[in-house]
Amino acid sequence: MKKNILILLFFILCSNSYAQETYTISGVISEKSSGETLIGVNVIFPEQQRGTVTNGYGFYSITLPTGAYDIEISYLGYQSIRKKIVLTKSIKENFSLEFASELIDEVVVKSNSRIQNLQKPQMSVHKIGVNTIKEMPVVLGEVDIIKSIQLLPGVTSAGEGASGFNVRGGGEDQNLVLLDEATLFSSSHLFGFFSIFNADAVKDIKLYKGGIPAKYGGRVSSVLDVRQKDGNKKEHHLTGGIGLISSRLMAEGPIKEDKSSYLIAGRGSYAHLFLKLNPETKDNTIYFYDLNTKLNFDLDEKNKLYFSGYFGRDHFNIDNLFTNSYGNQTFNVRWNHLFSDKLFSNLTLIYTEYKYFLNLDFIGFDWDSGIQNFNLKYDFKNYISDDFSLSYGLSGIHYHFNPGEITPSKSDSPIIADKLDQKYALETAVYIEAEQSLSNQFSMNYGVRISSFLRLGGQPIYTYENDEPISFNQTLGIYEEGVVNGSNEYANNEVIKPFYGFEPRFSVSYKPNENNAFKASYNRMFQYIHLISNTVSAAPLDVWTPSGTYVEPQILDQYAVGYFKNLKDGDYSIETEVYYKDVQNRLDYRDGADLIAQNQIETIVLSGKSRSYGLELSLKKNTGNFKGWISYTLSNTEQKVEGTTPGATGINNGNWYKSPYHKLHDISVTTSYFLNKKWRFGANFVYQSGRPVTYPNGQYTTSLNGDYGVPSSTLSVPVFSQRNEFQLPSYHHLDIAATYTPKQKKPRKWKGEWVFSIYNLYGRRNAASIDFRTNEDTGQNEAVRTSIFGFTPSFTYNFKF
Amino acid sequence: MKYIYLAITIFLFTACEDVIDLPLQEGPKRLVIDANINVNKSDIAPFKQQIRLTQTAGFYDTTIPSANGATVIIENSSNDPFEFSEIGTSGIYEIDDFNPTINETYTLTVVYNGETFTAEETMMPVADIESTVQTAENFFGTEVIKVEHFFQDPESEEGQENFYINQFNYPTFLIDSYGARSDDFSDGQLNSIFEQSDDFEPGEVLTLYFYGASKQYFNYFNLLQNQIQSGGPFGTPPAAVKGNCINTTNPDLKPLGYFRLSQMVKIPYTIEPIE
Repeated sequence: MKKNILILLFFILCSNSYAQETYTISGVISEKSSGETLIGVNVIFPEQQRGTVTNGYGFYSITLPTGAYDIEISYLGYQSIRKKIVLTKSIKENFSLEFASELIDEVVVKSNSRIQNLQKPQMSVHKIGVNTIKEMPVVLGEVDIIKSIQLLPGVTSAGEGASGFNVRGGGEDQNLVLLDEATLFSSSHLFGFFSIFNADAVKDIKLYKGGIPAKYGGRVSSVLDVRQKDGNKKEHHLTGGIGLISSRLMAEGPIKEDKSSYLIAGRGSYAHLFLKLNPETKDNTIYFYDLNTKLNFDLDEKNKLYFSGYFGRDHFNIDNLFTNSYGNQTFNVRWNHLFSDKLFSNLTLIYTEYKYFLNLDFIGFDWDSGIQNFNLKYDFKNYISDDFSLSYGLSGIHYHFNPGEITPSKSDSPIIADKLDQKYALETAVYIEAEQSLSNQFSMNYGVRISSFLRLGGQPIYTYENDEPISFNQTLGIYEEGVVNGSNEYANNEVIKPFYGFEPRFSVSYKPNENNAFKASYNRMFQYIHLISNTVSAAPLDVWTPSGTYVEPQILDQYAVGYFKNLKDGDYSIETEVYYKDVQNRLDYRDGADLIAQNQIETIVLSGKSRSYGLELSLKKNTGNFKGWISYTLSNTEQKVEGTTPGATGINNGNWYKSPYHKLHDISVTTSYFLNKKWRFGANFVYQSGRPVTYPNGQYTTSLNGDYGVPSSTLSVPVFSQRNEFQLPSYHHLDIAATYTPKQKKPRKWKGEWVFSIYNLYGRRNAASIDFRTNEDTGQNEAVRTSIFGFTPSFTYNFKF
Repeated sequence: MKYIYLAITIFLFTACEDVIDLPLQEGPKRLVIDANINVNKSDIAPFKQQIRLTQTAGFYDTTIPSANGATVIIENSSNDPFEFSEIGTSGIYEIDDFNPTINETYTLTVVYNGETFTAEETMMPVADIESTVQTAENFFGTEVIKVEHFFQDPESEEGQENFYINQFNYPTFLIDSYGARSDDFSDGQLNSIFEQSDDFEPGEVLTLYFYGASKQYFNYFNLLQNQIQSGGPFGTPPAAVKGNCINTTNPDLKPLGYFRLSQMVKIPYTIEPIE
C-alpha cells in the first residue's frame, strides 16, 4: 500500500511539467502595517469562479490558462483589493491588506469570501478572528480562546471548573491542540479556569470538528490549529494589558526590516498577591505564567525559517505543605521551502513536553510525571492546476511517557523511592490528499492517511490469570484488578505491539448556485494514546497512556452532511450540519478505580465504544456595525461497555449510558456592536443542558462496630443509581462587555483601550457539581451544590505603542 | 486529590457551596443485611452477636425502616447452625453466644418475606496494637493532637495480603472516622494508623476499633467510602456498590449490605494533657 502511494507521489510530481499555455500566479499575502502574513485569505477570480486561499504561512498559488484576469484579494475585516493581471508567464505577486476597522464608517466591506467558502468542500470547520475573541466578554477580563470556541455549534465544556473543550460529544483528550504545529497536552491554566493561549501572540485559530484533512491525525474528535504571530516586520511595538488576574506584555519588531522579525510575549497572573494581604493565607502562592517566543527569517524568495517556543507553568504552594506545578513546553523549528511556484513544503522539528510535579511535604513525598515527544514532519502542498491540488507528507513522533516517579522529599521521609514503568512508543504516518474542482458546482477532497504505532520496549508487560487484567467478581458484582501471574521483559526499542491504521478522508460540495451549497464528508481516524481520568473534570495529574498489549487504539468513523446558505450577498449566512460518529475502543474506568501511582493501567479500565449524533444550526451576521451569531446544537452522546467475561455486567449492565460530555441542548448567542470610534459593546449568552451525573436513589445504614444505638457509629450510605443516569440543572449565563477607546487629541503612537465586562450578569449559580453527604452538625443527609463564577465584574486596560 | 481541591477552593474566592433542595427519585425498596460479626480479642465467652436487617430508605429520610420477622441463621463449615432471633420488632437479631474460628468460612442465610438471601465469608484475624503515641503538631496555624497506634503486620506468603479497617469514635465526632488499608507496600512492617483533630481535649476518650478484613470486604469498603465522600468537580464519580449477599429466590433483587466476620481490637485511649 505504502509503495503504491509513493509511486503515485512520483507520478504526480513528474506530471507537473505537462502544463502548456498555463501559468502560475503565486505569492504571499500579508498585513500592510506589520508585514504579518495572513492565513486563509481568499484569492478569487470572480469571472472564472475560481479561487484559492492562503495556507498557514500566507502563501498562495494558482495556475490558469494564458489570459487577462480580474483578481480579488479579500479577507474579513480587511479592505479588499481588486486588480487586473495578465498571465503570459508565471508571476509572483505579493499583496498586503489594510485593516478595515479604522475605515469602517466610510467603507462598506463586502467580499466574495463567503462564496469561496461555499465552493470549498471542507465542512465542519470554524475560523475565529483574534479580534472577535478579544471583544467578547470574559471571566475576570482574561481573553480566552478556549472559552470562545465553546460558543461555536457543537462545542461545549463540561463546566466552569473543567479544562479543555468537548467537540461533538468527544472527550478533552480527543482534541488535537496544535500551537505552531506542536501538539500540546493540556490547554488550560488553573484547572481549566483559563486557557493557556495568550491572545496577543495568536494570529489565527481554526477548529475542525469533522471532515478532518488527512494532514492531521492522532486524535479522534477535533483539531484546533492555533498559529502564533510572526512578529511585526516593519516596526517595533509593545502590546500589553493589565487585568485583575493577570497582565500581559508582548514585544515584536523587525530584526532586519521586511526580512526577519521577533516576537516575545509573556503573561503572568498575580491574583495570589491578594492572598498575601490576608494573614491566614499569606503563605500560599497560586499563579500561572506563560511565555511565547518566535523568530522568523526570510532567507530568500524560496526559503523561510521559523523558530517558536512556548513555555507555560501553573504553580501552587499551600503553606509549604503542598507544592504543585505543571505545564507544557514546546520548541520547534520550521523551514518553508518553495521547490517551485507550485510546490510548497514545510519541514518541522518539534519537541514537546508536559510535566507535572507534586510535593506533599507533610508526608515527605515528591511526585513527578509527564510526557515527552519529538516530532518530525514534512508536509508538501502541490498546486497543480486551478482545479487540482495535492497535499502529502509524512510524520514521525517518538513518545516517552513517565507515568510517575516517587522520591522521598526529605531525609527522614518514610517514603521509598519508586518509579512506575516508563513507556515508549513511535507513531508514524504518511498521507496524501487531493482537492479537486470537478465543475463550478462540484468539488471534492479525497485522501488517505496511513498511520502506525509501535509500542516500544524498555519495560516489563505483566501477564494475568485467564488473560484477564481486570476480572469480574460475581459475588460483589464489581470489577477487580486481575491476578498477575508473570511478566515479559522487553528490551529497549523492541516492539511490544504494533498497530496500523488506514484512515480514509473524503468530502464533497455541491453548489447549485451562488448562494447555496450542500456538503458531505466522511473521515476515519485513529487515536493511539489515551488520557486516563476518573474524575469528573480532567485533572492535571491524569496520565496519558499508549496503546499496547491490553489497550487498543481508538477508531473513529464520522459522517456529516450540511447545507450552507448566504443571504444578502453574504451579509448573513446560515450553516446547518447533521453528524453521526462512533468511536471503538473508548476506555472508561471501572467503578472505584484508583489511578494514583497505578502501574498497571489495564487493571482499572474497561474498553467500550461511544457514539454521538446531532444537529448543528448557526445563523451569522457577518457585516455591519452589529455582528454576531446564534448557534444551536441538539445532540446525543452515549457510551457502552459490555461484559466480555462470563457473568460480567460491563458498565450499567452493558447498556448505552450517557457519556460525561453529553449535552442535549446547547445554545449560544454572540453579538458585538460598534457604536462609534469610542465605544464598542459585546454580549454573550450561553445555555447548555446540565452534564450527566449519578445521583443516589436511596440510602441505607451500617454500623461496623454493631453499636446500633450510637448515631455517630452509624454510617449512612447513599445508594447510587446507574452511571450518568441523571443530569445537573441546566447551565446558563449572560455576559456583557464594553470597550472604550479614548479619543486621541493628535496622532500619537500610544493607543489604549479599556474593556469593562460582567460575567454571569444575573448571577446564576451554575452547579459545577452536586455532592451528597451527611451534614456533620445535623446528621441530616443533604445535597450540596458547588458553583464557581457568580456575578463577576472586571476591567482590563490594553495598550499598544 | 483532596489537596488539589483545597488549592482550588482557596484560589477561587468566588467559588461557593450551598445546600440545595434537589428532589431525588427513590428506587425500589431492598433488603439491607448489616451483618458485622466482631470478636474482640480481649473478650471472653459468651460472645453475644447482633445482625441488623433494614430496608433502603429515601436519601433524605431520617428514619430507616427495619425488616422484621426474618429468619437469620449462620452455619459454620460443618453446617452447625447458629440461629439469631429478633429483639421485639427492632430489626436487630441476636444470638447469646457465637464465637467464629479464624480462617473458617461461614454461611449466612436470611429468609425474609418469602425470599431467601445468602452470603459466604471467612473470619479474618487482626494484628495487635503494640503501642500508642500522642503528639501535638501545628497544622495550618492550629494546635492539632495526633494519636498514633502502631501494629506489626505479620509477614505473609507470596501473593497473600492482609487488609485492615479502622474506626475512630470520639464524643464530639458526629460521624466516626474510618480508614482502610492493605499491606501491599508494607508487608511485615511496623505500620501505624492515626487520627488527628484540634477538637481533642485531655481526659476525653478516643476509641479505636481495628478490624481484620478479607480482600473482598476491603474493596467493598473502599467503594463505600468513595460513595460517601463523593466530592467536588475533581471528585471520583460515585457508583453503585453491592455487598456479598445474594438473593437466591430472585437473583435480580440483590440485597445490600455485607456479611463480615472479623477479629477486632478495641482500644479506648484517654487523651493526655499537652506538655
